[in-house]
Amino acid sequence: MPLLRAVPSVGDPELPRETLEACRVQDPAAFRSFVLRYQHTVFALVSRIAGPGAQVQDLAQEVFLRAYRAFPSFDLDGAARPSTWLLTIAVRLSQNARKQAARAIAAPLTDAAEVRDSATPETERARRELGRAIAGAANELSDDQRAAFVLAEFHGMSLADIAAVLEIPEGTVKTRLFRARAHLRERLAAFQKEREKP
Amino acid sequence: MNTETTIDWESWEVEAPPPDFADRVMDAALSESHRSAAVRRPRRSGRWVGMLAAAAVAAGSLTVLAMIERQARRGQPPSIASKAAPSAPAPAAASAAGDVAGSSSADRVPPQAEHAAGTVVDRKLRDDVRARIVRPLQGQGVEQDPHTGLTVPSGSNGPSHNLSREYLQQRIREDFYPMAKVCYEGALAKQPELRGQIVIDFVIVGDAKVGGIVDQAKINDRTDVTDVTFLECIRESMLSMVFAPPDNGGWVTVTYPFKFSPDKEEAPRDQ
Repeated sequence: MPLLRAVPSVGDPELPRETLEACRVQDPAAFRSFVLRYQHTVFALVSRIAGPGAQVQDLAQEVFLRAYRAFPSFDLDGAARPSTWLLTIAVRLSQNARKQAARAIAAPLTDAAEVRDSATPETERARRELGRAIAGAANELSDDQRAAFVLAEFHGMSLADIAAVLEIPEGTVKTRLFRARAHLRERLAAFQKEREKP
Repeated sequence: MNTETTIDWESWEVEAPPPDFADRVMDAALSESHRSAAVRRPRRSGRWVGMLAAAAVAAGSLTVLAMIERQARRGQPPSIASKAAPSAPAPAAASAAGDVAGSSSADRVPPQAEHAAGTVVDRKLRDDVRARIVRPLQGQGVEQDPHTGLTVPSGSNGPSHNLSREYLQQRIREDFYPMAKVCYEGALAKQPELRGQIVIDFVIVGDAKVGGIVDQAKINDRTDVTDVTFLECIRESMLSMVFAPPDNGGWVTVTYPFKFSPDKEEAPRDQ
């Protein structure tokens, strides 16, 4: 499966209201537009919360299927934007999948073997190593810390939106973000030191 | 070091959707909608159940039981005297097994069949299409089909003959059988030995722009299955079917019997 770096943020414009209204009545063409608009966002979130692998596509598909089922009851004039609502579904499914995977294999999800490719340019190799280090460090976070960090850092969500998605108070979001970032700083500093060794 | 300001978080790579991801989602969504429209409480039995649709279990595996009765009425109803509708032909209504009423033109599958065939739509879509078709007919009255008791639009152009038996069988085999099988599996979960015949009458209406939809469906009195949930599931499934539109804005009335039996470990079979 191809890898992706940049994904649309929830801060990007939402779909036009008429498209969303058509989604509410489960219009196939409109919902297809909805899938196309948010598929990269959902793949990114699922990859980072549930962990990479073949299950990402299955989970992403399930996210959209649940959205399709639930769209008739989605309030277009409500507080939640469609992207926030969709990511709420994605976060819950991803967290559940992660818990199930943890029970099944009782092993780190993203502790992927390091592959060194001599043909890879140094900068690209360094970037990939950093990516693996971030993934490994994030994997050590609690589920809620990880979700809060991913939503804030990669999807541009406000504290209020994250609080709504995770169904926790904003103050708790702040605490989890602080602890997540502190943990990642610590782990990545160690990674940097390791890399700087001669 | 201040890692927070120097880390390129985007280095954390993620998976990207395959090019056909949206198509896969839509296939799954529409398929699911179709199933859920057919089955309110889907339950699967652990075994494969053979739905011997339109197969005569007692009389022989390939005996034709399924029949399609095209029923036409004679002349135009008086309520549409002001409408310039062509007089309807009067094909004999078929009532015997394997008998197909209609002229030879009934074996012609119109070009519209191509876009209708294989298109599975959910109940909501079907209702939308139905509303678009029925709206122009409103106010023009309905009359009762003498053979099925179903009402047909008296303001339309009368019975059509462009949907052949083979075409209807093909559509039913493609889209109705999977739904009926799920209905049957749900019924078997409650009654493992449930078997019998369901005969369903339905009316196809529509036009070339929007296709053909099942406007009405009812369980025929010749049905010997009594499981109300199962029967309603079958009826709802039929209501979600789409077909090629009857020609000239008319309608097609169909009577279709199915046999259900859990005995055979074989694929659904028809005539």
